[in-house]
Amino acid sequence: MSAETLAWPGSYGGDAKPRVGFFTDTSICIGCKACEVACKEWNRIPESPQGFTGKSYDNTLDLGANTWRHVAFIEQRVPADADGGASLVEAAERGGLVEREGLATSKEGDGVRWLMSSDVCKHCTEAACLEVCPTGALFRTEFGTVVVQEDVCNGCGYCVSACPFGVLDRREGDGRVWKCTLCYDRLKDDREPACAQACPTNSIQFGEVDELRERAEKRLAKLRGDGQSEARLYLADEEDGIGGAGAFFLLLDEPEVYGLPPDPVDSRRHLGAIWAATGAAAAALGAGLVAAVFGGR
Amino acid sequence: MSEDGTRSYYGQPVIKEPVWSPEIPAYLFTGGLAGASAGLAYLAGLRGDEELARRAWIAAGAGVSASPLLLISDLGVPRRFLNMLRMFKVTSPMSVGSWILSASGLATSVATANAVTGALPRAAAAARPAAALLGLPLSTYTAALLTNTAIPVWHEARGVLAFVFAGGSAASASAVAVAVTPPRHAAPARRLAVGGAAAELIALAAMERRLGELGEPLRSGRAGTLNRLAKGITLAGAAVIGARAGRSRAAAVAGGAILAAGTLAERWAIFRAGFQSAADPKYVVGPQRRRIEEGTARGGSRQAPRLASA
Amino acid sequence: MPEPDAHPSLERFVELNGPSNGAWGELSSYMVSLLKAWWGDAATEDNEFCFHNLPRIDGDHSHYATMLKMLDGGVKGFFAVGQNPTVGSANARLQCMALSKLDWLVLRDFSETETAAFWHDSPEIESGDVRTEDIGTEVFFMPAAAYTEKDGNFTNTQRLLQWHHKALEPPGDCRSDLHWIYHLGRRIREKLAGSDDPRDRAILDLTWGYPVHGPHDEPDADAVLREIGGRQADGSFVSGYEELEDDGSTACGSWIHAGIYADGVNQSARKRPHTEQNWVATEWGWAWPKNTRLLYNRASADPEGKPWSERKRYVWWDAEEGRWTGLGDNPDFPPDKEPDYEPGRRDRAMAAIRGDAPFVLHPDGLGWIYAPSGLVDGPLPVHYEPQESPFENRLYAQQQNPTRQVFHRPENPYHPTDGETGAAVFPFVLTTYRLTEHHTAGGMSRTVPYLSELQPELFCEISPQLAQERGLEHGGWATIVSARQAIEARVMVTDRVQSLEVQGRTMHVVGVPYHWGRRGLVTGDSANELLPLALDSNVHISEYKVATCDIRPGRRPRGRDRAALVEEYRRRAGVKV
Repeated sequence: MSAETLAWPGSYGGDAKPRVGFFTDTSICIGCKACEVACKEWNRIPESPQGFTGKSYDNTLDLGANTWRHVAFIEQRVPADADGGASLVEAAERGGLVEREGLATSKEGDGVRWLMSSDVCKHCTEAACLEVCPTGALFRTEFGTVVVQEDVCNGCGYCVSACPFGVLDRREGDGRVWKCTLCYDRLKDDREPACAQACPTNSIQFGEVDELRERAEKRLAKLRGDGQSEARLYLADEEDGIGGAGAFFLLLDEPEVYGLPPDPVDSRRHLGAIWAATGAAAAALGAGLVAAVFGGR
Repeated sequence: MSEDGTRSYYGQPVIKEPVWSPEIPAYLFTGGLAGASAGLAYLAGLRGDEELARRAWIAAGAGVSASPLLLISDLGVPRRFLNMLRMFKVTSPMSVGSWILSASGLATSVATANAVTGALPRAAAAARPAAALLGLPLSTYTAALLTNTAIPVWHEARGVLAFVFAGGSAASASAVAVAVTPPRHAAPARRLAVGGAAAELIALAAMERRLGELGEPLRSGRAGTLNRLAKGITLAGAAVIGARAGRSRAAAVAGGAILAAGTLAERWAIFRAGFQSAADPKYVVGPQRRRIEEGTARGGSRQAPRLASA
Repeated sequence: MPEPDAHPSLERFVELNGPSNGAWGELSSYMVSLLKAWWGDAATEDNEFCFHNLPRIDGDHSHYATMLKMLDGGVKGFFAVGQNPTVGSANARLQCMALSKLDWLVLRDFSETETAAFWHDSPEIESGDVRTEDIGTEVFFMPAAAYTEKDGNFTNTQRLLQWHHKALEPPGDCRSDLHWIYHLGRRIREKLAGSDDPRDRAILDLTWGYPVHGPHDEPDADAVLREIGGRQADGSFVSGYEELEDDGSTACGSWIHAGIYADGVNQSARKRPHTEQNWVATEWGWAWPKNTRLLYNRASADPEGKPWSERKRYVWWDAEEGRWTGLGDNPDFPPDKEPDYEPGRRDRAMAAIRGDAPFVLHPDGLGWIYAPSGLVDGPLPVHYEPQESPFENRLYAQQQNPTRQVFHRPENPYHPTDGETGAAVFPFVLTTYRLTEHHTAGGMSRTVPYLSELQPELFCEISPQLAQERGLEHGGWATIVSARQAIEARVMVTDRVQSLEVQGRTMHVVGVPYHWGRRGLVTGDSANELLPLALDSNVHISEYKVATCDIRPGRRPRGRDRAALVEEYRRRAGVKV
């Protein structure tokens, strides 16, 4: 059973639906960006042209108010010897080339690994954005997802700084904060989110979180069994710093390589200490005031 | 990969820079000024320093009047400012602060109105202690506001920042009081100024030590320059007040202005440092990766499959 | 299409075009049914079913041949329907110059493409080579409806047809291609009405009575599909091409599509979800021919008709029933032909195909590596170096394909190839390709904000070694030069492009996606400006994938200096123009 959140399923009683989310299996992402386009089309998100970035095929760069799906492209050189393909002598020779010339020529067997990964709002179990929202614009839906109500948000921007993933942002000219709704409107209509539907390889899988986690475990076991020693699940556990995510990932390298924080923590876990310090400092200020006013001659 | 070995996605930020505008550091100053001024005014009144009390109430009144305007102006949709009071959420320092500021604003306004015009004497009698009491959290909750975020330099300063702001609030309130009060009535304010400034600088030093490498944004770039400048100005202002303000009105005005500027600059430096630490992934990834390597956190990812029981 | 001298009669046409064995052995049935679909009752056995109404083809009218003829002033008018040759065709400059020799040009597209704007906004006008006032071409731009704004079919590369229904009315003056063709024909017929000139019978006797509907008299696409799908004399629909006859009793607009309206149902409009049928999914759309999802699928069974592998079984022989059966796909083979069937000496057409010969379109029913007919450069595949190559052909003494079509003319200069003087002036291999984010020449993607922002600028991809050798900076600009043109592109230095050791030399590749042009939301030079016309002799497609080039840092010169740079390269390389 996926972790209960503060508001789900408790506050919905009988209206609560199973918690849904995404399992994004980046090992089969082909970088087509259909998810980005489908998301923008369905949700009528304003365009966000950035020009040519030179960062591989990524001209989107990050998630934000006008980008709710973002495909990252990571190019990694994999020398032939990385997987025991070529001889040690060859590898050493190439190492020498790098030292002497500063550049290695490609040799037969050299490979390039092009990692692609479609990022999205994580719909955290412990969602800092939702917790810090002073207006209640951010709320937990009956599906266990996190959504901004555009008719309530007043653009205070607190969630922007609270999110450990840099997902939320304020939209210029609009003033409100926008992010992935996990296609709340489509969910209510029993349809899967636009990105998942558009994904041609099933890299983006939509479903009930419990079931998706099982699927992810099997996939991880399979990949590791096949020798993909770098494969890992990201945000699939309740023991992590955000109590697990509704949208979690299978990655082929460390999270930071994809622009993801390796150990995200919901700041509310430290809120007790924060309020204690605030109270103590207030008391100290009071004492200081008394001392200053009454402490003289 | 950056020089320190942190891996990243083309050096792109992992988290967003705050969207807050310069109104926010200005509010950090006016809120602290209002809160500490109310306490100073109330206590001075109790002690019978009516000259100091009246002027401090005016400073507090000015502070609580400017604060909501600054906050509303920073909103993306200013006309929705009342949505701040749709609910009370203890998990949101901004929600808590909105209520503190509202209550403190009301009480302080009544007390100030009475101090200036003599109106509403009975209400003011109740409002004064309330304003003084509410002024304390008003001065320090802003630290909770900043530290309860994902911004590394703020979040990791969570045990200390409130004390920096407490000292800074005391210093700014007393600086204004020293500047506008005849020296012979301002002795408590002068003591508070020197003590507040000292407290702020000591707390700052403690904070920077605790932050360690993460405190780099407070030492480099625009925030670093501001921080060094702020400390110098604060020290200078406190020195002028401590040494000369008791005898010279001119020195009192100058010292008060300098010290107030110093505390404002310090808020600005801390605010800007947050932006710098959000913009560079090494501040976000570095500490998280260290936590994993030191074994104090397991991190968000896991390589060992949990084989299904089936 | 019949040729004037070679095909004096329908019989002779069939004789020369259809092999007597295999599915093509029934060409006369396909032809007669086609003629009946087009000319209906006017097509009779006595007039060879109106065979003589067919236009005669008098030469090579493929795209490049047409453009070259146009360049020489031999073409008066040109229809470009959803086509953007000044971006999408090799030697884009030549394409543009050719268009300026037309009397008139009719374009149908969603927006004013580079081809539509060639007379007022082109690289040649920018550089001052051509002036708008000197172009006599009258250009008619007809706004076109998008696929969402009309009924019709998509056909994809695996032969699957998927019907799409109109979702909304096309805006303004936009109309479907069908509307345009139908009403153009209708107006021509009205102008010719009453004519007794025999040559006008070909147009006046056409079956042109498609029902129309809606405020703009949109023709019924379904009615066109019914004509294509084929009918019996009694009006019932045929279920496959085997039912077509050469006696005039059947009418079918396209033999490979015969049966697309079987049972009076638009088979291509079926959309049964994959959850409600097996993976062969025969009830999603319709695949030509006869809804066959895998062509020659009899090959999935061994000569005895048993699956080669139980795990991969697909179509097999059911001896009890005496029929080919399988997972649901249409067996692409006569349904009751036994695996051990051997044709008699006199058998022809499908009857001449053995029971163990799955490749029914070949007269012997076999798959070919050795291709005795059909390929100009057959019978065996061999490696040739491209027209422009920095290397010699080490596999085979013949450097280039001897049957390739090359055009030595000033507008289409070629680089010296390996071993010739001046080859070193263009030392690198140029290759062009597509990106996922853009559609061909960009008319349907560079006008869409959500796609344009994903790939906003033309770039070239090079190896770190080439970047170092030529001083090219990642993210900066480069100018890529051929004897045809010089273009500029942003530089992407990437390990994905590797410099290789070939024949003892280091080979560098410059990769350029080709989607950009001067119109739309995102603009840039077109890679096709660099390429020459060097055509394959079978299908007359140019070598888009390989040419040679040079690359240098910085943006390209503007105005006349651009041509001067290209001229300097030609001179240094000794390119004769």
